[in-house]
Amino acid sequence: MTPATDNMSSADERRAALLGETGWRATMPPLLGPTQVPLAAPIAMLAIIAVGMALAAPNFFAVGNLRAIALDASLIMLLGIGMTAVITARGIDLSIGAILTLSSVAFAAALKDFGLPLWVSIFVGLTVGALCGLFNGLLITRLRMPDFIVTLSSELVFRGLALVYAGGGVFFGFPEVITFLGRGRVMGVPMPLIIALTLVVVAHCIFAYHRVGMRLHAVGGNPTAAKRLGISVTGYRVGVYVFMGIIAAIGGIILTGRLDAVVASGAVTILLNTVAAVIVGGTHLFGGRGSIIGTLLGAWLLATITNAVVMLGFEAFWQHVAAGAVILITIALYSRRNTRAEE
Amino acid sequence: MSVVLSGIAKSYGAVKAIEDIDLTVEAGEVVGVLGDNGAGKSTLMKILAGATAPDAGTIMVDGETYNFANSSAARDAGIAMLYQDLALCDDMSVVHNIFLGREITNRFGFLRYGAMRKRAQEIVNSFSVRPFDVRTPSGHLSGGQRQVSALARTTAFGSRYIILDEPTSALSPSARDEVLAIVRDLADQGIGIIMVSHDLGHVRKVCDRVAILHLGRMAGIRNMAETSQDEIISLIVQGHA
Ligand SMILES: Nc1ncnc2c1ncn2[C@@H]1O[C@H](COP(=O)(O)OP(=O)(O)OP(=O)(O)O)[C@@H](O)[C@H]1O
Ligand SMILES: [Mg+2]
Repeated sequence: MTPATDNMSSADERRAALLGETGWRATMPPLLGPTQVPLAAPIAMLAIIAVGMALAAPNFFAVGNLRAIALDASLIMLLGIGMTAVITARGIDLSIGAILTLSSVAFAAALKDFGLPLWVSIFVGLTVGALCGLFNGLLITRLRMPDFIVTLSSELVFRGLALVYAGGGVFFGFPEVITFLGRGRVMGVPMPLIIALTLVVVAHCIFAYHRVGMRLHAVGGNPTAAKRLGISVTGYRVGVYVFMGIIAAIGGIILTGRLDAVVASGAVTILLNTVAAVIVGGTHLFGGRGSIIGTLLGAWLLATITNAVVMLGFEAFWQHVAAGAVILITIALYSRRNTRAEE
Repeated sequence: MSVVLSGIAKSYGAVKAIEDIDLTVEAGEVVGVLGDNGAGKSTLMKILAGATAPDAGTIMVDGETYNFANSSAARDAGIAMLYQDLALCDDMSVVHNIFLGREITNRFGFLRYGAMRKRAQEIVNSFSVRPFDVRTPSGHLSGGQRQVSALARTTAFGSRYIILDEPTSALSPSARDEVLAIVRDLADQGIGIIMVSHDLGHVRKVCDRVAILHLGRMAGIRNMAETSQDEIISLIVQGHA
């Protein structure tokens, strides 16, 4: 009899304790959002590289070099925002390089070939990005084709369209507003970083604290359950691709400003770096769990690695090896953790 | 306050899954649905939950006649079905899972997490099982706790009738007892429950009445207090007592 009574009272105590917690800790939403994303790996890798570079190449920390890293990181970060949404919803977009290029060509053509006003041309570029995303999203949801097949094919389609229009030609000589977005600084901080960080903050708030972000996690985590609970799984899946398309177009305009040029054959390696940043940042490759903050760290890590490889005097191609290794390490760490949890 | 099914029929091609079923579930009572494999129990539950459309018959909820187009329509009428699996997002906390689709937000759609957590914890605490922290990711819960979370979701959504299709079949004995205890808790809170089970012991433990299906027809409805194990078994096996 006694043990039963003990159990009852301890259960009551536990109830009171669980409900009684009313401090800010109990009412604050989890900082990273509805899912727990492990950030230890990217933080540790960043720390190791920072310490290593401080010893091996002290001018790694020169302001000019940090700015160079920031420029790379901000483009990866920006595209990573869209990719985090796509992957969290259980998709993948392999066509971002081509969307970026095609929307840049559309923007440049509107401005240069058709003589449209700057703001209208920007709108044209963003619309083309959104339409590319819509194309991906509709094919995936309506025809029920696998995401990677659709976007792998549309990478070719979009890039082909850009090449058909622009050929080997180059657009250059863009208005000052555009070059300012790509190269300008405010109080020493590069504009692309300011834009990317602003979008990271906004996206994180939606992703982690808004109904839309929460449902996005559910759409990727358990589509059957989400559908039963009245959530439009198809709507969300199409939506993330459109969002990704718009983000890629924004990236295209920033990159145009940075290079003061649009080349139809550009932006090829950006896909690898973006997916790597998202995965290293703790977003689950198969959906349901993601973090914009993790992607921010991952983007910084990837840009740092690229930079460190060059600084240490290796050929630039080694950056691919390093980036690939980082992805493999991360996935290996997570899958070990998962197998242990299942045991 | 009750759900009234009358004259419900459903065929799959040449197979008459159920025929001419009448059944009433009052608020606050637990009705067990028994029957052999293929007797039509799941079919009947899916019709009541709006997941399948009947060929004939009507469903009345609290005096109003419904023709559910889908399970959302049934849920809006106050009827929820608890799915055995595929119900929770493992990476999300119990709080998020319970309110998924009916989030408490401010007018801009931002989550009011504090309010959701408090309500979720209250619901879990209201069940007579060992309470757990609703901030736990669902993937870390035991089978019983997952079932508790899914039941808590139906309560949070304000369902007045809950359908359970073999809620205990995949659980350990202690988790089974927990789920049965919650079924009783919910009935005592005024919710009408209809529970499919193959386990006579469980049915005896929590049900006020039992309905027995045999080859798609209603073989009999009995008050638990006025029937015997033998009578129930022969209704299941032969279709008559
Ligand atoms: N979607 C379907 N398509 C065709 N036939 C079906 C379908 N669903 C059920 N049936 C048939 O209808 C009959 C009743 O099935 P139901 O699943 O309702 O039985 P049950 O009582 O739930 O059985 P069990 O105890 O095995 O769960 C069976 O003969 C079954 O084969
Ligand atoms: Mg069944």
